Amino acid sequence: MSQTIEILIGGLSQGAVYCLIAVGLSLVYGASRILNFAHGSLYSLGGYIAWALVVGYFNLPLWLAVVIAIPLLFATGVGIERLVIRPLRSWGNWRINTIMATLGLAFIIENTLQLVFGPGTKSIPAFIEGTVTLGTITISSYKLWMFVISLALVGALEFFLARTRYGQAVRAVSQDIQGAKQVGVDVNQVFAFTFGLSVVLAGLAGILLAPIFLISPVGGWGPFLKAFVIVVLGGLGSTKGAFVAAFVLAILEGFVIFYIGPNWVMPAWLLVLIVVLAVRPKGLFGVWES
Amino acid sequence: MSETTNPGTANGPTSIRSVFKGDRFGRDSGLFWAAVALLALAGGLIGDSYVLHIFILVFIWCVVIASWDLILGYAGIFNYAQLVFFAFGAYTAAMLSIYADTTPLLSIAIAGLSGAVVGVLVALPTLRLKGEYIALYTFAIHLALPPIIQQGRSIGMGGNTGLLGIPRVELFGTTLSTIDKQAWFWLALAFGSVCVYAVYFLILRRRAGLAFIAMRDVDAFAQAIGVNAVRYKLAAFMISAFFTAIAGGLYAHYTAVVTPKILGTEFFLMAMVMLAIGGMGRFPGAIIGVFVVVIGNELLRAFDDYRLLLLGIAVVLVVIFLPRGIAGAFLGQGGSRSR
Amino acid sequence: MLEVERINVFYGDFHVLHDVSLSVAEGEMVAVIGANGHGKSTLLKTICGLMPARSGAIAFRGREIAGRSPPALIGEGLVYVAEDRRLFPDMTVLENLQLGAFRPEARRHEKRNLERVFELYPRLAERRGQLCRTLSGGESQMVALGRGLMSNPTLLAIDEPSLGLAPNLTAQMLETIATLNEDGLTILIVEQSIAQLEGLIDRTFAIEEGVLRESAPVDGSPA
Repeated sequence: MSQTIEILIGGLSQGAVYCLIAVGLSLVYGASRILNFAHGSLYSLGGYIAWALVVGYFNLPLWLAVVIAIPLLFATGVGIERLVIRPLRSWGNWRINTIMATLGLAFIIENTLQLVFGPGTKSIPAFIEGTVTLGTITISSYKLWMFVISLALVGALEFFLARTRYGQAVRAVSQDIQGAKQVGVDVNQVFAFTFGLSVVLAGLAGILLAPIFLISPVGGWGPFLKAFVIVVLGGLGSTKGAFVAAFVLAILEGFVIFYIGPNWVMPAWLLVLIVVLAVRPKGLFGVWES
Repeated sequence: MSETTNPGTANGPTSIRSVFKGDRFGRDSGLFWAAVALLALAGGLIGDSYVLHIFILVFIWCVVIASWDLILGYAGIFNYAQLVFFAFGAYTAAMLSIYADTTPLLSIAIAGLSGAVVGVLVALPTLRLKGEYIALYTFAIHLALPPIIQQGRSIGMGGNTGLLGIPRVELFGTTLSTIDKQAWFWLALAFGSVCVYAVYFLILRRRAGLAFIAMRDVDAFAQAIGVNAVRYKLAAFMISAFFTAIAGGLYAHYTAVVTPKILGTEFFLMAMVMLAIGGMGRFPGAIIGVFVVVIGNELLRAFDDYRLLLLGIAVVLVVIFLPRGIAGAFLGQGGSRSR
Repeated sequence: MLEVERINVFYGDFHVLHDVSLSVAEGEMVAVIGANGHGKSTLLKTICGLMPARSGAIAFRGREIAGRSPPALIGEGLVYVAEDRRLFPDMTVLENLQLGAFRPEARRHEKRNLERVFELYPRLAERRGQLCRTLSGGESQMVALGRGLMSNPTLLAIDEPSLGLAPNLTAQMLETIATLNEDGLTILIVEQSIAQLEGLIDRTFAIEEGVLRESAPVDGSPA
């Protein structure tokens, strides 16, 4: 019994971080219909920035590293949108070309990281050690914090989208670009902003998971693949869908690892994905027609 | 994204016309086979086995890229599982030759046929999916395959080390080892030219090709004029997987080694650069892309540490500055910017 | 208030508007009549900065505006209401209206304008929490017009408000627009037929194959 609960809690904490990676991907797709294949490498980039600041070169405290990393990540996202994505938009075949460009970008970032930091893995020490015991259940304090922080970030994003005027504008762009232009929303600015935001979220997830999964140049593909299974399952463009799907799949992952083995996580995820898509081709919450 | 109905429909007829020059079919076929004959002649003159090796790779890649172009460029289906078909063909042919003692050429043929079946299996879930969902789903299959191959060690898939000692191809009573570059050159050229001709001339210039393009450009219109989308989607996957699996089988017997590396970053990236540089959906763009990239990649060997980085940069720059590839820039009928 | 001078607009290689000139004075209600595909919507969109003109000049309140972005033009009070409404389907009526006041210039008058819209259309006040995808055609058009008013326009460019509406709903819609005009709002409206506009408008232009001509003054005689 307590075994089951521990797996559940582990799954929730994992799910919260997956959620962080996935909502960014979904946000960008929702606003600009861009499927960012470089999302995973940007997750790695976040980890490396923090590693360089905390462990590698500067010995800064983690919080300060995060404070520095956020604007760097945001600027990276905005830069990518401006320099790589935007020039493609005016062409008829932009959908296929943006997939190509972001895949190419993923390989650029990945190989640059490898050249700069080497192919080995890096780690950032957890900012909190030890465990928390509740009755018969023991979980690591770090995972608990990871859960809280991720959930807070996702909550903040949801608040921003639902309650602020600029968040409304982001949703407006995702629902009807022409309509958004007509009410005076600067659509290009929203594209750049959401891209920047999604890179920040992915990078923060990379920093949060660094003590557990380690950082490596190609380490982003795993979380990315998971994020996109989550996003597809939840419905492309739906942040709510990504939220629900992240927890469902993370809990599934916990049970699969415990009962069958870690190698079967991805097959299990894909199986769920195929079954869901067979029933609902646009995922659980995907409603928008592109 | 926004209301781009006009470019869509305006684009459609022009692209169709560019492919359907029925009157020029004979002339273009003649040009194609003349080019093949020239290459065959060149093969006799090239003595350097390294250069021959590069051309053999070019010919095998041509089959993969032509098949990918068919599904991605012409039919407009965002399929990113192309190398899965290639790996499947390579493994199937290799395992048949090693374990079942099948004649290599027969193994390759069987690999092609079973590749077609796999193509259909991969295609089935995509029938209900649209656009990027297909990209995600197919790329997920690509990423999920290497771990499965490692799991397949128990059924003789060789895990990470791969399959070694794949039997040699026998042709007209002589066995071709990997070192017989000249013979392999002609064999690969023969295979490659037949497959590429089949894709671009026998399939894409017939009714099926028109249907693919109609599906890509104006889906609703295609259905309205009675293109059976399900049938043509399945057909696109099946044909594409068939030729790609054959290329995989040929590759396995040429190199005599198959490892999960063929699903790695480098191969995938190469394939993408070829399509991007050449230009999708406009023959002979993709084929030119293969020649440029394979040869360019070999020239970059000197900078091995930076090669993948440079390939990545090449993809991004080409997509930005030549959005329709070499073919679009030099052979196309002007750009069709939307909006 | 609005001066359009010999603009030429292309869609790709297709020449849509040929040397179109048009002027609208403050407080006027002007109609452009034409069949589908003759460039009516293109004209409105070009004026409102949603499409570029290849040549010609557009001045609004004495200032050249060709080439300026839609957000800037909305700030100036030039607001476009689309024929296909372009509502945000998964947002509520209230959110759609609030987005009309997205620009800071309009935000200042948001409260007053919202009251005005709800006064004009009490039905929208009742349905403020409803998602727009669930609205009927008539209600959608009310939201579209309301959203345009929320942008605090000085000139409202309305693209075929009758599209998809039953004749009686169209009549009500046009009445409302005429009322807005009487209250001082300058209106440029585009329709396929003059029939239901008669008696409401000051001047009429006819557009045919991208060429615009002013029609005889409306005095009850058939156009």
